[in-house]
Amino acid sequence: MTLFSAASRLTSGLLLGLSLAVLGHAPAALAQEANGPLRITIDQGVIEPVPLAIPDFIAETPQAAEMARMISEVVASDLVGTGLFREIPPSAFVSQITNFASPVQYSDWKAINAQGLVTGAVTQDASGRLNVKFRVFDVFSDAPLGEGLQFGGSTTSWRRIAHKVADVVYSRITGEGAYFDSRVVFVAESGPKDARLKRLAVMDYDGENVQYLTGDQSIVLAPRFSPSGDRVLYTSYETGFPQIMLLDVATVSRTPLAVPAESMTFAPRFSPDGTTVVFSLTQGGNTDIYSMPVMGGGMTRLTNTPSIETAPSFSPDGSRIVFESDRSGSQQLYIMPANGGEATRISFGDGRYGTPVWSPRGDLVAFTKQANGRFHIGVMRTDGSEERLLTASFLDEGPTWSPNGRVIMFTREGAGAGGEAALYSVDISGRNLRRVTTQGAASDPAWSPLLQ
Amino acid sequence: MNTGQYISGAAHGGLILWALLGGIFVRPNDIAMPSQEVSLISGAEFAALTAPREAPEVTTTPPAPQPPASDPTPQTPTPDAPAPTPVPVPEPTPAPEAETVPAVPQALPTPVDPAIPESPAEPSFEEQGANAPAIPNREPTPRPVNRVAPEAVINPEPTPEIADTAQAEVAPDAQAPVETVKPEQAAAAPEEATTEIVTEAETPNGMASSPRPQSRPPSIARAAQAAKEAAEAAAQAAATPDEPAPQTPATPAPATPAPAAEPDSVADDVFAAIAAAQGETAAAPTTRTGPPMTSGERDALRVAVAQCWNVGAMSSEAMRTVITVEVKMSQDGKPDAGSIRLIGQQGGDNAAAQAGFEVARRAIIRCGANGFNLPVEKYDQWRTIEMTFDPEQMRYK
Repeated sequence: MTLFSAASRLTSGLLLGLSLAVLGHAPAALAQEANGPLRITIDQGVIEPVPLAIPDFIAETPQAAEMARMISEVVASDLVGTGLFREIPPSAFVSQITNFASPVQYSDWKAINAQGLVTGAVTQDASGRLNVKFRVFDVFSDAPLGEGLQFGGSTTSWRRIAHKVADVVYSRITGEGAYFDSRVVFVAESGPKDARLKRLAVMDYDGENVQYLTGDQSIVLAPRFSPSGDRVLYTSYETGFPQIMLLDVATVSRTPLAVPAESMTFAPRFSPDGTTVVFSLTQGGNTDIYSMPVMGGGMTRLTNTPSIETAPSFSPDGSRIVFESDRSGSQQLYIMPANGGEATRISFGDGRYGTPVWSPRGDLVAFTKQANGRFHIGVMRTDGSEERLLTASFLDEGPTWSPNGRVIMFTREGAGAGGEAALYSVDISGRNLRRVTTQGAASDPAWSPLLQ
Repeated sequence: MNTGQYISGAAHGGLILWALLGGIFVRPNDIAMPSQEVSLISGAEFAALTAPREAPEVTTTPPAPQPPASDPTPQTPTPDAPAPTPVPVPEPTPAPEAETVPAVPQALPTPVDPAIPESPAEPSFEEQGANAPAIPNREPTPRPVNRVAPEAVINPEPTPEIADTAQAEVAPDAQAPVETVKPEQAAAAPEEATTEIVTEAETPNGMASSPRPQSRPPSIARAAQAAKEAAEAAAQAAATPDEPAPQTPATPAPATPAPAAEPDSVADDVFAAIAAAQGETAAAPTTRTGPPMTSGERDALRVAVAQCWNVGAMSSEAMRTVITVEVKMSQDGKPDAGSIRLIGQQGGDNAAAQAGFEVARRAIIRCGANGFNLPVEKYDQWRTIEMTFDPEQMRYK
């Protein structure tokens, strides 16, 4: 009892001293605070689509009316499709844009809470040449976002023009590059699962303008765009044996990569400068990673282990290669210098990791993960930290990055004989998972860089 | 001649016996076999344990414990008898309750013991629970919706129109008297929001909100109250014919100690010290021209700006950039849009800082459009505000 009271007295004395000490400093701190401005720190915000008003572009020549409407529709669908923006329905508009040149009444757009406003005008001359000019406004700052711009082209390329407009709007508002004016090469599939016909096809990122690059006589796999977007590497079974082919998109002519006979080659990918190809080669039952110049020449062996190494992918600066290997006993991701050498393991979670792809920004690696009977598409930093799974389904695989490193497209396949493969895209935050519209089944997408 | 062999045999035999029995093959500190005491139960008991809980039997058969009214024993009045015996679970429970306590829910959990008096402290907790804002908590886990915000909002119905505050739908009603016609308006609710990005792969890690646990489920509390009243009634009924009424259930002892009634000497000292120090600071001349902003006022401002700080469309580079923005305020709490400027950045390049600044400026202007709720008498304190926007926590919501 006495001990307790002594302790309690001691505590109270200590507390008293402490509080006096603290308060002794308090006046100084308060005075300092009073002299400076009020300082607050905001670390909680909201994440929601930014409301945009995209009134129909104005047709400045009579025959451009249809084009103006279609172009503004594509611009809106590009922007809304990112999940970052929401389009305010035109029925809510307080004022209409009737003249591209006249000043914008910001208050009318603030009233409907539009944070961005896109106005445009389209002219079409007798020869069928289109000209689109447009402006982006930051409504709440009462100011335009950047200068007005214009794009010209033929009426047949109107979708590309619209994508370019959307690219500019996107990058002005978000402050980072966009990806609308880009294409995707993929494997178009038809027929039942046990007799599936596959051929290479290329389409706009949104599924429009599909062109077929190969016939459906032989199985094709894993197409990859070159960094300039003019050539495609893929694996073909034309000879009955997997063999890497190089295809020129413009002429649709293809040439096999010169590799030793009696070896299987697959999983090719361009280096960032487009001059080198890395790929897997199986010889004598062992699979390793090799590189060789695109134009032909000697192969360089980059890995030399008895385990399986495959799916190499360059870092954007071309100095390193991420790949998958089962050297530890299970399939994991490793990074090694571009000319071979010691590999560092980066994936350490449960399950098996495969098909790593280095982001064009260089900060992340996308991968396929198989764990607990499900497939995931995920991203991690290049040191293996901050792993984040974005999807989960019966079968997700083969991620590919959008040119700006913000969106991942991949293959999703359903279970059973009826489950057909389809292309999906997802934001790297895990939001906005959506199916890419394709005619029929599709798999193995590879995103091109932004077109020039 | 054989002596050597006998000796050798005996010696070896002895050695072998000693080796076997003497314990050299037994590890000295043998691991004690861990054992766990178990209690055996019969199959019937196990079935009873695992069986789905039966609906409470309120109905017919009173349990064996002697109802005091019918028992002839109460002639020997033992008022200090333990609680269980006088516990009347009278068979006509439904009947008297029907008149006295009509609010009793049908599905009463039976084993409510009226002899356990409710401590006086508890109603206050329940009142707290009752006064707490009704947090919508229909679903245990967040759903993937478009908006991610610090406070989750779960909309019950197919999304009504988005508005800042909830308002009920007013539809023109044919039967309604003409005088009371309200202007027609669509149903509106705050936009549905979740507290974190819900991806397909992630099991959301929490409930949509975390309401304070109630001290006791209200239905049980009500049942206990009802049962207590019933017991009192029964006790009085039993008391009228027989003089030695068992008083026990009617007197819940209110002897619970008043919480924190006795002042703690330590706390007292601290308070006294603080008061003294505050007296000193108030007396001391400072350069301040008004009372300082309280933390509540600062928090209110912080939350007000955060509501409009939409990082959803920010580049990932900008999401790694901390920026500081200065804004001048007018006396009505509105920010001067022209005065907003970037005064500091940390972590990203200039383009990222500029992108982040535009988002921050939009937040300040949008949410300040009607004026922030700031105390006018402290205008000198918030004439100029420096806001630091730190997106770190929003990166991996």
